[in-house]
Amino acid sequence: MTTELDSVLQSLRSSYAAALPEKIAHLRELWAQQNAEELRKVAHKLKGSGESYGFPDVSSICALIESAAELSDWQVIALRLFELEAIIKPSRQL
Amino acid sequence: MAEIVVIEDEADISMLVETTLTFGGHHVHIAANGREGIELVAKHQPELVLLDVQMPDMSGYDVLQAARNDPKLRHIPMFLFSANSRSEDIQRGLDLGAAGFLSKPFDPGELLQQINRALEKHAAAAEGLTSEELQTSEESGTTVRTI
Repeated sequence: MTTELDSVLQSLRSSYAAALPEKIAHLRELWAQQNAEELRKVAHKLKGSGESYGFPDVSSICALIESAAELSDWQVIALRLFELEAIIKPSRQL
Repeated sequence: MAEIVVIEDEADISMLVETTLTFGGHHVHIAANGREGIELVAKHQPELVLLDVQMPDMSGYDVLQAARNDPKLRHIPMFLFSANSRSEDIQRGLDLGAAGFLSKPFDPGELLQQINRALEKHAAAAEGLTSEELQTSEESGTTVRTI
């Protein structure tokens, strides 16, 4: 059943992967605006969806961004955004 | 097959859940916010509700509270669905009458299995199976544990 389900979900996963760069760019914009609350919310959503769609690193890094946003720790958020942008680049080829 | 209402403001998550549960043979209704969700639950009287916690305007806890205060809705099992799985978050939901807690992120196949087990459990409870019968059924591998 898992293989059949994986097959059914493949197109959703591809669409999600294709939309990730835009979502990460939105996080970057929020960082530039220093909008901690909105950034925390967006990171929280990506934390929940990333691994669910097969991108565990997206979830783990966004969990760190969410925590850093609660503290308005802009330096940590900037570092995590670089990590996120780096792992997203290969997914564009999916 | 069961009627399931998913109350979730994040479209990426609701699409993934809807596709997964539909693949599993269930009939899924999606609400993008708490108020719409309560209306869908009242209209369809589903066998199960999957309820996001962190939503604007009306949180999952608010929905849970409203449902528990409504005699027409309070019997419907509602499972909280959240990326915040701290013990205090889970306890708050259980104190408000949640039937269980499912974590995000999730594996779609595992989510389907968890939902199916929960449906079996609540169906058995609704049919009035005694705990002894449930135990016998569990031993034969046909029923569920609490999520």
